[in-house]
Amino acid sequence: MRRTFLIAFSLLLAGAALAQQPPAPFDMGPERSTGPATRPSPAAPRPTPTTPAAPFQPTPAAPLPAARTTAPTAKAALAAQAAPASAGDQSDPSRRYLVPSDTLRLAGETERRAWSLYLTAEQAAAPAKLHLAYQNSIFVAPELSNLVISINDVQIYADRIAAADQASEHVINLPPGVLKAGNNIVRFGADQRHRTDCTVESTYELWTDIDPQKTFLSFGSSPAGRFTRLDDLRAVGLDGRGKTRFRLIVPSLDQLAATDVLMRLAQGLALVGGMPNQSFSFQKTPDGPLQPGELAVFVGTPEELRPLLPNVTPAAANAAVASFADYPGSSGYSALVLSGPSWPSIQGLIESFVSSTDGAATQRRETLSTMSWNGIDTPFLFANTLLDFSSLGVGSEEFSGRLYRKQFTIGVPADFYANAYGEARILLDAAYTADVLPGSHIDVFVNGNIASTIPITSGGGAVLRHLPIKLTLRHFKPGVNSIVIEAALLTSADKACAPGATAEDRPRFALFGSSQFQMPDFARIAQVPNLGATAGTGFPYASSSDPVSLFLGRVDEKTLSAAATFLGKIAIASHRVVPVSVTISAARIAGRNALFVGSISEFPANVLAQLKIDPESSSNWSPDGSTQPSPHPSLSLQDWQTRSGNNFLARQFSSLADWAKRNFDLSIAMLRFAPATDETYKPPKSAQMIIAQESDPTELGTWTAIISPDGNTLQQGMDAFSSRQSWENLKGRITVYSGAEAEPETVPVSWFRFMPTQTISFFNARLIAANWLSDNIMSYGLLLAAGAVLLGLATGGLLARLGRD
Amino acid sequence: MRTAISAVIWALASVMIIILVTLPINTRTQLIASILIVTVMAVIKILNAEGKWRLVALAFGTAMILRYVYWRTTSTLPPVNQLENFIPGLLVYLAEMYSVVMLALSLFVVSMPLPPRKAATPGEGRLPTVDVFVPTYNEDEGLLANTLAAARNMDYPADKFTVWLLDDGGTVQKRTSANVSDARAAEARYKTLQQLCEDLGVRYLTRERNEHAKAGNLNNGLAHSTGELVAVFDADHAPARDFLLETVHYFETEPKLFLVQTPHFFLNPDPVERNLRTFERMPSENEMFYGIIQRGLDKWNAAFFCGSAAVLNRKALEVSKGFSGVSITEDCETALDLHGLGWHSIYVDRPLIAGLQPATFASFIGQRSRWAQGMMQILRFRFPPLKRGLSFPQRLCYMSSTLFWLFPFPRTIFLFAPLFYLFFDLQIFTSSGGEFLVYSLTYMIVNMLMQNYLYGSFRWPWISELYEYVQTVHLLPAVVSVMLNPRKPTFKVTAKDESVSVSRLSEISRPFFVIFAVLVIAFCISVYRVYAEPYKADVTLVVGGWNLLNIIIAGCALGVVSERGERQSSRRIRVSRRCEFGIDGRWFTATIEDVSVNGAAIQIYTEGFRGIAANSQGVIRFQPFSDMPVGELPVDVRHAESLGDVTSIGCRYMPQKATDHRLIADLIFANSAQWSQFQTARRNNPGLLRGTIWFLGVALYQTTRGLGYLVKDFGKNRPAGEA
Repeated sequence: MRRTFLIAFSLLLAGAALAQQPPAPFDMGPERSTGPATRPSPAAPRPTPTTPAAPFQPTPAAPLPAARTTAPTAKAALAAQAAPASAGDQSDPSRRYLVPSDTLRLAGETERRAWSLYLTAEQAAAPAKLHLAYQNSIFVAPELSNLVISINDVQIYADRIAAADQASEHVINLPPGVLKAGNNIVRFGADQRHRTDCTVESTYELWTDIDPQKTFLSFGSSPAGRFTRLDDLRAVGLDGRGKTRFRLIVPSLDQLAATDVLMRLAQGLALVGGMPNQSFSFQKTPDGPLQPGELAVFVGTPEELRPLLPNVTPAAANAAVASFADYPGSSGYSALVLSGPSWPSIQGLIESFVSSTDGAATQRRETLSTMSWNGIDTPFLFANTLLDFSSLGVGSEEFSGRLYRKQFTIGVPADFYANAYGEARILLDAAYTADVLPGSHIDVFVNGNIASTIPITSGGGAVLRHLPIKLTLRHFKPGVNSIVIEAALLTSADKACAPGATAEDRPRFALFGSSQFQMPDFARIAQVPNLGATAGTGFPYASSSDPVSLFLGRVDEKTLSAAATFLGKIAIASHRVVPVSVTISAARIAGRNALFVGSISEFPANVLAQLKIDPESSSNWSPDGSTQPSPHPSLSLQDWQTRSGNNFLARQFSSLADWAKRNFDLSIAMLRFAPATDETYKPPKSAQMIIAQESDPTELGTWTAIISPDGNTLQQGMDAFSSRQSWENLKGRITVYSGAEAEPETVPVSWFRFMPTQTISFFNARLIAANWLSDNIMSYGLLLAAGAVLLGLATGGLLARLGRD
Repeated sequence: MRTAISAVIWALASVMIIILVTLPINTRTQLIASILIVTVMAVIKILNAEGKWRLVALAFGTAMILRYVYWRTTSTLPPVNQLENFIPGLLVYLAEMYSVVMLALSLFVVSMPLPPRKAATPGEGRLPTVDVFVPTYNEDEGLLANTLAAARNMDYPADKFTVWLLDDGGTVQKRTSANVSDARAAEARYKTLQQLCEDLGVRYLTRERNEHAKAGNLNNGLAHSTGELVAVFDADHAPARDFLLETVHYFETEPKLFLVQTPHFFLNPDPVERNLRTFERMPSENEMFYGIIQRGLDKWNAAFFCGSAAVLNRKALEVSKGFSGVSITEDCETALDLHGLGWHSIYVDRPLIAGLQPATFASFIGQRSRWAQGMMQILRFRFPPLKRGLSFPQRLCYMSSTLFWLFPFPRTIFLFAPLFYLFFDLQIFTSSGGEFLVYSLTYMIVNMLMQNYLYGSFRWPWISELYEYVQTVHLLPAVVSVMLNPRKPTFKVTAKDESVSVSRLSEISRPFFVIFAVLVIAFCISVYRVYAEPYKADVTLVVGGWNLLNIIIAGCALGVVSERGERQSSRRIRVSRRCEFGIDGRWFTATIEDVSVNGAAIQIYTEGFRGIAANSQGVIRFQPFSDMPVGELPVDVRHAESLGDVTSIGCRYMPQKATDHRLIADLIFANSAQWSQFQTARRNNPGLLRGTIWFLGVALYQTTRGLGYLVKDFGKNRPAGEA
C-alpha cells in the first residue's frame, strides 16, 4: 500500500526534478492551461496508466499551434489600457505580485533591490506585462533621477522618476524570452538626486515608494494560479502585501492523530514555497475565494472531501494520490488535493511528500536561502572565513553622490557566541577623489546598528587598498545579518551648493568588489533561551532527532494555524522538516524540546512558571487587549534623581557614567560577576501575543511558548509574525507583539544555560571564556586578580628557593 | 623537591595568567580590569607592603603589561600593504617590545634583590696578602696623591698589602714620543710620580708600551706582583679605611670567589645633578645600579666587575689570563669570562670608596659612550646568552646589562614617532582614541608604578627618561658606529678633574636646542590640527600629548646642557672631628665641621682672640684614624667669621709633603659610614604623583634656564662675529 503512493509521488517529483527540461504537465481539469509554445513529445516520465492518478490526463503530445501564442500578444495593447482599471481587482488569478514585502521604498541617492520570482513553465512562456506603480518624494529631481527595473538582467524599464504629485502607473510589455521557468531575478534600482540641497542629510528626503498592490506581472488570459506539477507549488507567489498563505482545508481536523502529520505537511509546504512571509491557516471547509499568493491544500479521504470537491478523484478511494483540482468557486486557481482511502494512507502520502522536500539534516549548510527576498543566497559562516565582496553580490561601483550605501548579508549559526568580544574585519578596497574633503566618513552598520566608523582624514584623494575596518560582532545574531556600508562624502562643491550642483555626475567615490569580509573564528556554544537562534536557524528544534513535543492549548483551527505558521517559519530557517509529536498532556514534556501554543488560560501553571511568566497573568491578561494606562504610573527613584539632580558631585558622576557609556558602552549594571537571574515577566495589557523561551526544568530541552490572551489574537499575532521583518525581531527571552502598529518588544536574555554543540576544544573554550568574561566583567577582574596574587606568591616561593639568599 | 613543587605551582600560575591575558576580551572589560589593577597596585603601594606583597604588585603589573603586549601585537599594527605606515609602525612596535623585554629582564634581576650583607667582624680568620692597583693615565699629581694616600691609610697589616701606582702616562713609549713636548711632559710626570710614590710608600710601576689600555696596564701590574688578592681603584677613587677589612674575608670562605665588588660613591655631582641642583636631595643616577641592580645580580651570582672599588682573586685572574682586553669595558668582560669559567662574585652594598664624576656634560657623555660601546662589543664578541659555562640566570643578567645600552634606538623612535603623524599624517598605530586610552594609558601608568615599585627610592619618576634622553642624542651615533665597526673604539680615559667656573652652554648642546625647536613646531601643528581637523581630534590629542611629553623631557634637557658655573667643585662632607688649630704659634681647640677634597670648615674656640683673618696661614693638628702619629696639616685661611667665643673659618689645604696627603685622606676618607648616611638621607621615594609634579616643575624651570643661556650665548657670539 505504502509503495503505491510512493510511486505516485516519485512520479510527481520526477516531473519536478526535470522542471528545467521541457516538462510534462498534467492537465488538471476541463480548461486547458497554456503550455509552452513548443513542446516536444516529452521523453520525461509522465503519468502512465499504471499510476492511479486518473484525473491527471496527459497533455496531448502534439505541439500547440504557434498562432495560439501570438493571440495574447495581440491583446496586450488592449490589456495595457485596461490594466490600471483592473488593478483594484486583487483576486485576479492572472497576476503575479512582484514585491515580497508590504512596502518597498527605494531610499537615498542610490538603492538596489533584488529578489527572485519563481515562475511555472506556463507562466514563463506566456506573454507577460509588467505593471508598475510608484510615487516619489517631492525632493527627487526628475531630470537627475532614474528608476531601472530588470528581470534576469534584461532591462525592462528605465525612466526618470517623476511622480511626486501622485502615483504613476506604468504597464510594460515584457520582451519574449525574458522570463524563464524557475527562478527569475528581479532587480529594482533607483538613482536619485535632490532638487536643491547638497547635504548628506538631504539625501534622507529622497525616496521612491513602489506600490506592491499595483506592481505585478500579468499573464493576460492565462491564469497565474494554475498548477500542473508539484514543483509549480514554488510559484505560489505573493499577495498585494507581499504575503503568502497556505490554506490547509482538512474536514476532519479534530482528530488528534492527524495533527502530527499535518504539522509536517505544513513544514514541507513551507519549504517548497520558500517565500519570505508565509503563513498557514487551517480550515474545515473552504472559507472564501482564493487570492493571489494563496494556495489551498485539501487533505482527507474521498468521502470527507466529496462535499467540498465534488469531482475528487475516484482513484483516491483505492490508493493515496496527490493531484491538483480547481479550487471550488473560483476559476483559475488550482488546489492541491492529498487524498487516500484512509488516514494512514494519507499520512504515508504526506510523509513521502515531506521527505522529498526535507533538506539533509546531517549535511552542513553552506548558505542560507535568502534568494526570495534578497536576490542572492547568504553565505553561512561557521569559522574563520574570508569572502570577496563580489561573491556577496557587491560588485565594483562608482558613485557621484553624497551618501553611498551598499548592503550585503552574512549568516552565522545558532551557537554563535561572540557578541561581547568579537570583531570581524572588512578589508576595504575603495577610492575617493581629491574633491572629497576630510571629515567625510565611512560607516558600517550591522542589523541597523552602527558597528564601525572610519573617518576620512586626508584630503587629496586616496586609493584604499585592503583598509582594515574592525566591526564589532555585538549586533550579530544567528541566521541572516545585514551589513551596510555607508560612505558620507563631503566636497567643497556641496558646501557651496551652487544651483545644479547635484547634477554633477563625476564619480567621487568607488567601492571595489575585491574588498573582503573577514569573519574570525568565533566562540561556538548555544545558549538557551535565545529566541534569536530559533528565529534565525530553527535552533534547537531543527537539530533535535527526537520529535519535538507540540503542546496545543486546544485542537482548533486557530491554534493549529498558529502552530503551523511557527513551524513553517522554523522549517524555512532551518531548511528542514522538524519532527513533531502533538500532545495535550504537559506532564510528559519534561526533558525534551517542546513547543507550546495556546491562549494563556490553557497553559499549565508549572509551564508558565518555568517560562518565568507570572502565573497570575493567566487570569488578568485581558483578552480585549485594551491599552488603558495602568492606574499607578510607576514611580521610580530615578525620576526624582533626575529632577533634583543639581548636586555637583552627582553631576560629575553622571557625566562620568555618560562618558563611559558613550565611549565604552559601559554602565554600572554591567559591572557584574555573573548574569542576574530573570524576573518573572508579566505581559502588559496591550500585548496580543508573546513568544517566550526557556530551558525545561531538567535543563535538557528547550521550551518555546506562543501565548495569547485568546485564540483570535493567537492566530492574528502569529500571522503578523510570519512576515520576514517581524520574524527578524524575534530575539531575547521573550518577544512581545502588541499589534501591527507597535514595534515588537523584547525581554533580553539574562540568565541562560550553555548547550554544547560540538566537542570541547581548547580553542573554542578559550573564545567562549572570552565572551562570557567580557559579559561578566567583574569575573574577569576577579580571575585576573586571583591569578596575579597566585603568581606573585608563587614567584615569592620560587625565588626564595632559587639563587642566593 | 620543594623547589620543583614551587616551580610547578609557579608554572601553573603563569599559565593561568597567560591564558587570561590572551583572551580576546572587549575594551570595556579591559577598562574595568585596568582600573581594578591600577587601584590594587596603588593600594599595595600606599600600604608600603614589602616582601611577598611587592611581588604580588609586580605580578599585577605584569598581567597588565602582558595584556598590552597582546593587544598591541594583535590589533594595532598598520596593514603590511601600507608600507609608509607599516615600517614606522613596526619600528615603534619593536621599540616598545624592546622596552617590555628590558622590563622583563629587570623584573627577573631585581624581583628579589639580596639584602645588604652584614658588616665584617674584625679580627676574624687569616688575612691574605693584597696588591692594591691604582692605574693612571693622565690624572694629575694632587688627585693621585689623595687616592694613594687613602690607599696607604687603609686599615690592614702593613706587611700584608702593597699599593701600586700603575702609570700609563709615563711609559717608555710616551717618554720617547716623537712629539717632543709630549715626551717632556711624560718625562716630568714620570719623575714627580716616582717621587710622590716614594714619599707615600707606594710602588711605582710603568711599562714599555701602552698596549691594551687599562687591561694591559693592570696585567702588567699582575705580572710584577704576587699578592693573593688584587684590589683595583681608579685614580680618582679613594678607599675608606675599612675597605679591605670589609671585603677580603669573603675570599676565605668561598674558594671559587673571583670578585668582591663595592659601589662607587661620588663626592661631586654629575653634570645633570649639578645643573638641575638635585645632588643633595635626589639619589644619584648610579645608585639605582649599585643600590638595587647589583644586589639583584648578586642574587643570581652575576654581580660584575665595574673597573674599580673591587677586590679580585689572583688565582682566578691567572685562569683567565689576566684582564680581558677585547672590549673597551674590560671590567665587565673579565667578569663575564670568569663567570663562564665557574667562578663566583659577590657584591657588598656599602660605599667603601669615594670618587669623582665627570664634571662637564661633554666628559659625562664621553664616559657613557665608552660604556655603551664597550657593552656593545661584549654583546658582539662574547654574546652572553650563548656563552658557554654561564647559568641560565646569569645569561639573563648579562643580557639585561648589555642590552640596556641599546636604549638610544627606542628613545629616538619614541622621540620622533609622533612627528610621523603630526608632520606627515602617517597612521602608525591603528586604534581608536578609547582603546588607546584603555590600553596604552594603563600600560604607561602600570609601567611607571612598577618602576616606582622596583626602584622607587633610588630613582625618582621621569629621571630615567631624562637621563636616557640626554645620553641618546650623542650615544646613538656612538652605538651605531660600534655596530658598524666593532673593533674601532679605543679606550679613552674620562676626564674628571675639570670644573666649570663660568656658566655657559655645553659645547655639545646644539642638537638639544634643534630637537626642542622641532618638537615645539610639532606641538604648534598639533594645536592647529585639533581645531582645523576636528574629525580626528582624538588621535591628534593623543599624539599631541605624547609629543608634549617629549617636549617636557627635551625642555628639561636644555637645563642639563646649560652648565652652571660653580665656586665649589667638590662636595663637603660633615665630619665633626676634634682638632687643634695653630696660628702664629698659638693653639686653639677646634672642631672640623666638614671637609672636602680641597679644604675644610673649622670652628675654633678662640675665646676672644681676633687674629685669624683671610689669607693667613695656619696649621691643623689632629690624631689620624690610621696608624700614623699626630699630624700637622698646613692650611690657608680663605675666610673667617667671629661670633662671640667662636670663629668659623674656611680653609684650603696646603699640602707640602707626602704625609700631608695622608692626613687629608684621613680627614676625608676615614669614615665610610658617613657616605652611607649621606646616601640614605637622599633615598626617599616621593611617589609617582608627587615625583611627577616635582619633575614638571623642574622641567619648566630648566627649559627657561636653558633658553636663557641660549639667548646669552647668542649675545656673546654676535659681537664676536661682527668684529
